[in-house]
Amino acid sequence: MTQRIISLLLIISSVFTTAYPETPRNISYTLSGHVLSTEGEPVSFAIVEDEQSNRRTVCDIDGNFEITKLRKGRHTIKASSLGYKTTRLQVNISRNSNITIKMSPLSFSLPECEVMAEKINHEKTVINQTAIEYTQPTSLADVFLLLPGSVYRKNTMGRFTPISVRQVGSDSNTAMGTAIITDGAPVTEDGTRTQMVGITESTSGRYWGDRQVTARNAVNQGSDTRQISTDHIQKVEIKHGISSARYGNLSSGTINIHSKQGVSPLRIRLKTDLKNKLAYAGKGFRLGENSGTLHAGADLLKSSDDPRELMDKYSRFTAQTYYNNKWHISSGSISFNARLSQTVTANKMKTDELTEEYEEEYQKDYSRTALMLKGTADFKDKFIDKLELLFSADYTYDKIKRHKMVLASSSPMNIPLAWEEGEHEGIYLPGKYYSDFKIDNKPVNLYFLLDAQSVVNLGRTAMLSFEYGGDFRHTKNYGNGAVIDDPERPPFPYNNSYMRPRRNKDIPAIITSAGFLQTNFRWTDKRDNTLKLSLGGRITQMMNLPSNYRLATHPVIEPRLNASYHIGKKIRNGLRVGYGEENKLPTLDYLYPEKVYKDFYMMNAYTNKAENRRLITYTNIYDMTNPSLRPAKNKKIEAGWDMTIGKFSMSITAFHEHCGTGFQYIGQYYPLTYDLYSKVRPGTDLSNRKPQKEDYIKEEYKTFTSAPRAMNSRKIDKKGIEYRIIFPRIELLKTNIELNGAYYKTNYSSSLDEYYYPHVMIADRPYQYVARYQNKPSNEYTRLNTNLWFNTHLPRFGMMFTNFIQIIWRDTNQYKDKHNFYPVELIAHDGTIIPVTQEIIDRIDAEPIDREYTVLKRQTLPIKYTINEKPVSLIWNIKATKDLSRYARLSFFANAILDHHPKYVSGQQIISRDWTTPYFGVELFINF
Amino acid sequence: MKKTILYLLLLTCFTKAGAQDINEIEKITNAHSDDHASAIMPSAESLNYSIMLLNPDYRNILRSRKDTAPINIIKSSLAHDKKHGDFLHYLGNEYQNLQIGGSGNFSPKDLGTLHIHASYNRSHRNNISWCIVTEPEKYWPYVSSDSIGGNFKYESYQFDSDYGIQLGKINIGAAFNFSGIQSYRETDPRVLTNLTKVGAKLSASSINNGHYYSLAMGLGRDKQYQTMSYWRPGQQDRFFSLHGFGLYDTYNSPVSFGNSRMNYIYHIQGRFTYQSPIKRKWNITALLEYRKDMLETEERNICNLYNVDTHILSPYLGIIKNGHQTKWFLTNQVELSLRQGKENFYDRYLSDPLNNIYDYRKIATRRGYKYHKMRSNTKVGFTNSPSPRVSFGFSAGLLTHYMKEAHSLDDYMTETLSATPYLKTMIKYRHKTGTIGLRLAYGRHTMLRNKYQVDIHNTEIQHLDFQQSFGPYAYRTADYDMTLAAISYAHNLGRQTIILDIHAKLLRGDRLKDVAYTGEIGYKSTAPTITPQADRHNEEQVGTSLSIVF
Repeated sequence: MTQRIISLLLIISSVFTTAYPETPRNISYTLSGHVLSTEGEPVSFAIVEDEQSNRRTVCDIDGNFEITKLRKGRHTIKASSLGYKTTRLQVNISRNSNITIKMSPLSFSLPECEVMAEKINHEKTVINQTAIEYTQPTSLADVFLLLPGSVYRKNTMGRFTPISVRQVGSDSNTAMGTAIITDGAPVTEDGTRTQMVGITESTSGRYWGDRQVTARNAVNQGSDTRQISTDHIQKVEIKHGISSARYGNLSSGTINIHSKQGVSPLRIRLKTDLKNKLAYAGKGFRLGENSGTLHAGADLLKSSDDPRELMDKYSRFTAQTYYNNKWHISSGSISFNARLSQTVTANKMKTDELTEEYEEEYQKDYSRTALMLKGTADFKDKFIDKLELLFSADYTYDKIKRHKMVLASSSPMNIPLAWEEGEHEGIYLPGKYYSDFKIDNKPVNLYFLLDAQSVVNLGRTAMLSFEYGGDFRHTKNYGNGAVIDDPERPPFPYNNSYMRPRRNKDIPAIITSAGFLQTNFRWTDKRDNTLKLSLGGRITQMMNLPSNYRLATHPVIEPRLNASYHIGKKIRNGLRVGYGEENKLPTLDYLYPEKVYKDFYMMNAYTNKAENRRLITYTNIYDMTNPSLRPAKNKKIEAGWDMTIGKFSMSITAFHEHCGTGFQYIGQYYPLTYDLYSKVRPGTDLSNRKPQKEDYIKEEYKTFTSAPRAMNSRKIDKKGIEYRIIFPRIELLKTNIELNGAYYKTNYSSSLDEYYYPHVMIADRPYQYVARYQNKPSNEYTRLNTNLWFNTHLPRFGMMFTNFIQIIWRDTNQYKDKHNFYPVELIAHDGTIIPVTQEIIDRIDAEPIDREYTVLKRQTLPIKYTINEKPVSLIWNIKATKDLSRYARLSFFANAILDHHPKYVSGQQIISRDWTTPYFGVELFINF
Repeated sequence: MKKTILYLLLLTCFTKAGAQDINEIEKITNAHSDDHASAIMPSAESLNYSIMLLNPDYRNILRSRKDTAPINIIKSSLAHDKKHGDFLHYLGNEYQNLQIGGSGNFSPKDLGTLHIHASYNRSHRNNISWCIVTEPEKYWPYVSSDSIGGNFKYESYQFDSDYGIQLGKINIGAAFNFSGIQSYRETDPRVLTNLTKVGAKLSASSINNGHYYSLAMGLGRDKQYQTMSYWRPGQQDRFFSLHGFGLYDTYNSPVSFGNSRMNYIYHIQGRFTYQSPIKRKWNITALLEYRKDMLETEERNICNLYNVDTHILSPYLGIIKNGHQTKWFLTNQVELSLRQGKENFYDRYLSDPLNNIYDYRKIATRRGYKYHKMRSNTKVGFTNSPSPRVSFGFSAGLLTHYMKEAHSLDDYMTETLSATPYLKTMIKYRHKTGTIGLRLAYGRHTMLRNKYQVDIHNTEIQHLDFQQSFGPYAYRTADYDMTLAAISYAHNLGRQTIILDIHAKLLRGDRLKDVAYTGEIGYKSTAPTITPQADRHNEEQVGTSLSIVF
């Protein structure tokens, strides 16, 4: 199937590249030119883009470029390159033209310096190199502060922090559904599995969870932004709205990372703050006249969230090389890019015997090697203007080693060792022991993309462009999975759903292929009024699933639409609307869960004499696979209004996102019957011998048990308004003011009814029903914030100074439900469903209480419904950067230097105040 | 001449950096706040400059007078100090300090002068006991403590900037400073504090016939967060919130069971400065500064248990007689402090019966604690330059220090008065490629009066008067000899100058023999502290710095 799709795409591409007639010459022209530095040196491999048509090309090593099929009229040509200030040039095109673009090296001594997200594009947030460096980041997560709606948080490298998008708080589906794309290749964690109770997300697992592991790691929560160093990044484009059809396997937008490439001086960056010490060195080389350029860089980070914790440190080493070259051919040009990157992190923790009462260790070693190869062909006078072939491969070595203390709480622990269903002999565990286990993941991801672009100019005012192609993904985990060194010393013996994990390498690969088509229509009249219409579609098929899986036979179809109309010149208004569906496919962990082994004690005869003990267990095996699993579909609708008056600009975007099929592990109840031997037969003497079943009275024991299953039940509803206002520069104060923020309302709930099994004994027997409720509990969060940025730029002092004031006007959270405290039906052990009648409700409410039914009332205390509302709070952050000379730059930041957090009464009726402690650091850049 | 100006400016920059070190960072790394080396060693010129540069407008005036090129300095320094015998337990008896920093002046044409200084500092102090906060003297006597003690590490960041510009006949200046210090103890119970200081200052001055008049106003805030974690069995009852003379509270101890405390010090200051024309034979610099510090604390339950108001008055007078070869000077620097402590008592009450909300209300305030401090430094001397290459100087001075600490409860009181006469000499030699300088000083610290009146009546309760009251008193009541030496070499490399500086301090002496603690020490602990009986008062300090000026 895959081969067929790829073959088809290749055939179509080759036909388009050879056969199509030229676009009429009288309405389209070629712009060529060269990009030079202010010192007259060519800027190799600068990216030159026509902002009207979004047509872009890469210069050759001598800075020469050519953009074809440009319509007559006024165009804004943008040039960007590593180490240079992004330059825009207005060009009137009425014939084939040749221009020279001069670029200035980045410096705060320049009259203009952009340290915020670019203000040109309202559909996505573009953060360039200066702005990235000015944030003084430790990882990619720090850059997100520039986005409207983001609020300041201290960075914590020792803990996993999921990506949060257009929401209050965070959730695993959003984090997992945010696609991080580096130079066109996706970064995916879909192949990572951690199927072990106590670690994998599950309702039961959380209770017994191993916090040393869960706090530092995350499975099914997307990429770990801690591992993405910003030192290799030249530009980041973040799109939270409706993504282009080119991008798939996502539900919450894209983060497009463009790596550093081209020629640059040796740059050294040294950073220290209260938690992090970072050093970076990087340089771009020109390899020769026809040999292209190579940019290489490496950084090392040492981090400690709490300096007192000597044995809890995080370190990260990243290195990257990027090669590019371009050749001219008769029908156009071919450029080649290759990136090889390496990330190594180590996170070690060791607890002190006296402080934690026992000695434990945690160690995670992570290594990711990624290769990207990209070839791009630009054609002249063909239907296909650009053809891109991209291949990426990455291999991750991710190994957790854990040395864990297990302590008996009261009774002696016991453990079965069976791998088959039925009766088995078990063993008793010591009251205290150490368990050693490893979690071994070695996912390998392959990605192929074929992408073609065609532009057709329709008369003098309209343009139609197409982007079409297909991609292929292959994800396979070659790790050993969870391995317990000694099966007789399990790490989580309290939970009887202790799994017998299998090797990751025994699990099939995830293979998907997709095709996409995106059509962009643009119409511009003489007054520069512009209509843009973008219609795209994407079809994705999972290819390697067992035939009983729903996704094996149901392709995923995603329509995506964006439209905008901008009108006016002096006062330019624009309206934007968009609708799209994005689907995150299930991960390996969700698709292939481990079987759950439920072990119950049939006979538990413990005596002080070890030789007389006897444990017989009954093992039930449950296959928790969910073949009907669907993708997590996020439906997005958004509308925006942009206005520009001179240098004043404003943008407001309202959005509504709804995901009703998010992934979640939900406990499923199963009836269970087995023989119980707990009462000794009268007159039986068990002293000085091993007890037998015959010594006990045989009873039939009926109960329910539960096991987690991956379901499409998580509901995330996001509504909000994001705004961004940029004021004209106040020349007297040399200050640019930007005001941005958002109002977010986020609701987290489940689409499934709740099931509850009371763990009580009635008449010496386990409870006989599982009850179903339609109470629809949810947690709702709202937040309104304003971020005020005052960027004072003093070019003659070579200095930039920023005051960033964050005001949170409203910050609430509230638990809600339908107040249906009574079940709607009861499920008996034999599967009979009993509707809950008024008679049953009366028995639930009976006085004196009817024990059999009272336990079914799940009333919530009124205090739980109280709105937790925090008063208006304010945080003031500062940062400053000063060019000491052309060789050195010093930066300084202090976050939460002043704050205002009034006292308030929390929802738990406790008087409280949010204390904020300042966070500060300094950074030095050296250029040679 | 240009080299002289460069060196002078360098000295001022160093003095500025030095003043920042002493004021902001070395208070945690320096031996103790009564360190006499910082008072004795600076020359009259550099002292004058450092005082004048605290007016943000002055650097621009200096630039317009001298018309110098911008100067950037990168400096790294290392210092080590060790005490034997008596020491202040809340500062420990050993420290080591490593600092790297830079500063620069930037004066684009007609745009005034911008000065920036940034530094990063790592240090550690050993054997601190009965104190978990950084810069405890600012919070005295309301210091959180534990009986365990240990070694503390510090990481400090400092950023200062001032800007001055001439607008018509008025010189306007503005300054902003920030410093942040994170301190932590890695042994149990583990301490973490986060101290930040933010300040801003505005000044306006005019020069009338060469006479400089300046008025400056400033305000700022210090904020210190303190928290503790990981105590071992038996340590839970050893956390104390001290409030003077060993009185303490354990119920409200901010460090017990994971609680934490936030401390705020708000300060305002105003200063008036006068300087006569500097080119005249007689040059007078006079200054009067007033500063008020207001301390507030906040517990996790948001009660404000302690307040401190401190009034500080600092007059200064410097007279310099400029001669052809010889320069005479007389300086007098005084600091008078008055501190009043307040303890607030709270009641928890049902503020909202409908919703069962409890709040705290202040029901009483006690003003029991008070101290008076006076420090004075008078210095007279001359410098002589018999040839362009050689200059030397000699000076004599007297340092006096008075402190009276009292608590109205049971009339507790301690009082000390000491005098330190000292002599100092310096010599400097310049040659083609550099300058070498040598400074030597000797002083004798002598107790003139001392009184200890802390008589614990309620002996059924263990008190911490030995730790909080007797210890600092005993440290002050010592007679000792002090020797200071410094050598510096500046090597000129064309556009850059490299400067190496080495300095040392040696103290030898003893506590007064009759100053001994005869009562029973409450809450004995393994933490190192001073002995009840008289002990040595010895100290060695050595430091070095390397700077590049460009």
